[in-house]
Amino acid sequence: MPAVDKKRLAPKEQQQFRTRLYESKMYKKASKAVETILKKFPDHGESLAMKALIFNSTNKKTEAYEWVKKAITADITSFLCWHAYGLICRSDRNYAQAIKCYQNALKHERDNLSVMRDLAYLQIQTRDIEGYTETWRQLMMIKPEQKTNWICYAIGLHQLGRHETAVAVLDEFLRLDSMDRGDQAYESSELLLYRNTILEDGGELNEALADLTKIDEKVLDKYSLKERRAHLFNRLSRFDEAKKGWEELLDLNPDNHKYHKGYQTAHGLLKVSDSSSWTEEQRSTFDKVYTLLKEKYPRCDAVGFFNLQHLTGDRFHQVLDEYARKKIQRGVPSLFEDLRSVYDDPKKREISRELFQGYVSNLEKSHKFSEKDEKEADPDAIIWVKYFLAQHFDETGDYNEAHKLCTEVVAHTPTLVEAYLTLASIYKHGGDPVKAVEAANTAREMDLADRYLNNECARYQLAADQVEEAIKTVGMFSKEGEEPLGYLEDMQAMWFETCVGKSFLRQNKLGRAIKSLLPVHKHFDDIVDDQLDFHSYCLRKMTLRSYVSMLKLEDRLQAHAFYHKGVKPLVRAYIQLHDNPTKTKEQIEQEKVAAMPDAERKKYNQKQRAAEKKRLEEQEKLKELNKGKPEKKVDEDPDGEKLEQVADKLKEAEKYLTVLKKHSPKNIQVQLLTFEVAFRQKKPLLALQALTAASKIDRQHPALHSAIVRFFHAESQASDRHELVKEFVSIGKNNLVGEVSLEQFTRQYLDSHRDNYASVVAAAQNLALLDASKQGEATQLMSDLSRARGKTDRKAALSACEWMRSRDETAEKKLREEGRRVFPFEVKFQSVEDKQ
Amino acid sequence: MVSIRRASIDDLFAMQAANLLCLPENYQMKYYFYHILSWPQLSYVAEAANGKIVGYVLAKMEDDAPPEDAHGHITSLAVLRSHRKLGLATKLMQQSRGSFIPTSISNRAAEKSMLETYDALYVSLHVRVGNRVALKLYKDTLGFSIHETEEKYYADNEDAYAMRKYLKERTTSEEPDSTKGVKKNNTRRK
Repeated sequence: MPAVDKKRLAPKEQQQFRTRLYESKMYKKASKAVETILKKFPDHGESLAMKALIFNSTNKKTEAYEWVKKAITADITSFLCWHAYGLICRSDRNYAQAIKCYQNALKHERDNLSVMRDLAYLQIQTRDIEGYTETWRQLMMIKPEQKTNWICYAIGLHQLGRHETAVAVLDEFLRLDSMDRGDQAYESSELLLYRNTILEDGGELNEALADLTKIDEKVLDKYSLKERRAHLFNRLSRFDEAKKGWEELLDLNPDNHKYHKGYQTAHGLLKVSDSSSWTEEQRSTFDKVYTLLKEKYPRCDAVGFFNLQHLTGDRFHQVLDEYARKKIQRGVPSLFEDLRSVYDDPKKREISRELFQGYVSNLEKSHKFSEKDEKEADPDAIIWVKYFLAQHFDETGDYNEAHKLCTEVVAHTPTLVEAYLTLASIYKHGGDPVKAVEAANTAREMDLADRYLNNECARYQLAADQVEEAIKTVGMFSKEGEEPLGYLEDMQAMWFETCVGKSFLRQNKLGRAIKSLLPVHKHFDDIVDDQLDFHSYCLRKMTLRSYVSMLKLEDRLQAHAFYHKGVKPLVRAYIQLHDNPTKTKEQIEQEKVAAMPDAERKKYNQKQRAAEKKRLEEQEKLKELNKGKPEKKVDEDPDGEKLEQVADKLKEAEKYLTVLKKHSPKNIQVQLLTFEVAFRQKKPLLALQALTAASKIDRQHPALHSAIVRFFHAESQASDRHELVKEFVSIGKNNLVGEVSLEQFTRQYLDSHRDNYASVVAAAQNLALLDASKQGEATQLMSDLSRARGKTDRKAALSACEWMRSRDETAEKKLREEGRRVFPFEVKFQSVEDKQ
Repeated sequence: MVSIRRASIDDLFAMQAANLLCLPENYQMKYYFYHILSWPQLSYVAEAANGKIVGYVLAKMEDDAPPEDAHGHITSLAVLRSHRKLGLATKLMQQSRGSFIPTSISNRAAEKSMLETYDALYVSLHVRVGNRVALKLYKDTLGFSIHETEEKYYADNEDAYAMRKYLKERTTSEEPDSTKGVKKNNTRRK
């Protein structure tokens, strides 16, 4: 029977097949052996599968798939063939397909433990938690003496929210193996702490707390034990005991803000983030508690920090005075960074400014912080005070004052590296990125061995669109002979890729922008993939608490700020590319040639052919010369031109937006980008959905306001809409705009945002969009810069200039003059004469 | 106003970013995951009030050492230049100052965890021979001493000092104070 022939080998070949050459990674020998067998038995499925695996190990993916499919056709009931197919899919990161293959393999060889385990790891990798749990349950039944089977089953149950069963499984396991051997102390400690977290997750707070006492002796990680105890006391509202717990932890580490927050919670100061709504009693509690802590830990910064966070008025002033002086005397450069967290409160911001300006005048008069002081301050104090104020005004958008103070600091102490970085920041925020580079480069040159300064300089270079220079700068820290971009990509240096991409986006070099930003997306894919090895690794280490938190992190990985920073500009690049598709060099060439008169074209073509011939010859020569040398990897698309030629740009944008939306649906930028894509795809319902989602996040956002007006205005003019669509749009309009006209809607927005220049600009341009006769009014609204301040308004003013350029030249010129006064550093406000 | 706390999985991206910003020796994310998933007790971060990670210490246990030589290793330690002079590097290694310590034993965060959880005999690290600032910190503030010089340890061929700090007396066999949570025979070897 031929079917049997396919599966059975002659004894000699059988022997050959079993040599395990593949398993010991002797691929060449294995390949030879397989070929010998296949010569005699060309339809032997398992040999075909081996051949596929060997191809796969030598990274020949196409051949691997081709042969493994042949193998399965030859022997569809073979466990080995399906297993091989699964392995190939897994190595190709196609986990869904790999799972199917493993499941097929198991149909033909039930209870193959190693394949079952592999299947389980893929199931958790793809978050098929049900499947994962079931696989381990089966494994546990087959092999109860295997420790991991129990523990993984419990992990699965925990992830499914079946806490009670998870604990019961662990208990049963611990009954069988109490893990009391000395060399298991660490694993036992971790397992017991993990079990304790399951109790808490299942809401068994009292039991969890009692459990901590029970396991105390066996737990090696005392910090975790104490933290969990204090935390559980808090959750159970047993605050007196909780206080004791947090006090004990604060004794171990008074700098840990988490302990402070726990301690505050125990004192009934629950709304830690919002002390403005505290009662008098809460205020006095806080004061009492922190006065005591201050006595206990006089040098602890965290105590000062929470005082500054929660105290107001005179008490705030008093604490700030004391805190600031201490830092100024010590010359701590991060003082402003430190205090910035209280700058959200405008009153505190003002108190801070007054206090520091008072220091300046007193120090200049009498070398004292305050007239009442007996002792004189450190002679450098004035420098640090001015340095602080320069950062203050940089933050509040008063770049003139910031610049003046910072220049004084630099003039007084030219060796203060930090001051040059602040100067760079002021120039950048003020709109002169080139001067910013000069300042940052001065800082860099002051300490060439400091990579931080090197990177900061490169960051400013990228902000000034000096990409080649920036690459050269970071290259100073690449290993010798190593290409900086390749190294940084290997090391997943996303900040650099993001800044390069954004620069190219500004320069409208979209292919290069995409080329630089795509790796950011890929790094995250890789990190998701990195998990695979840890599913089994963490079991060996028994670090299950960390393992479970890794699973959680990976579930929302692409919500990370680094992903947003890199992938949003990527989406923008595709949108921009859709709006202004670029031509390839060939297209440009073809058009050029087509436009030539016949005679000229003939000549031109001859010349081109000669040049091409010469190029080929030279290439040959070069090949000859380089013979024997290892081939250098050539980037075949250095300018990303091929990337620009993708057929459906919006579909590409959508691909990345889908990831962003899945992980961060509550991010307004993500929703606005979704709108931009849907609007261009002429999908009104999707566009409307995005606007609605955005309005639930921040109804007053200027970009959202513009998008709403743009959308409903376009819909009002669209003629080909289905009745049903029209109805949905009309309901949407009622929700987002209300019962008023778009113009009234815009005027309402304008009225409530008069103080915010960027919002005024958005609204004014919308007025003109809705009704061209309102252009004059719009121009007038945008010409008033009296309330404009800071980076966002500066950019809004630039967009206003841009808008006026084609509509009202006189107004534009006037606005530019005004802009130069308010934003003296913005180079784009300067006229050609200024620049010279 | 910088919080010093144990690093968690969620800090790894920021730790990698801080490393890339400050130091020439860099690692892929997987290596950070490897540290925190293998020895969750050993790495610490310095977190500014706005949530930014401005410093970290990434530490491990030396897996291949025999039980009688069990020791930890500082893989990487960095503090952003913008947050110097706050003693963060010292605090990261030495979580709280001497006056706060209730017991007589040294209370340095990473070191303490190594001693308590892993029963490490000493902790080791490498430092460029030319990095005077770091050398001074390790030697004078943190009590490390040079064990040996490893030639051409770094990719650019600079030599490294292999430094060590002993966490326990090497010769005495007395049992540690039970309040310190150190258990006898508590070696993690398999």
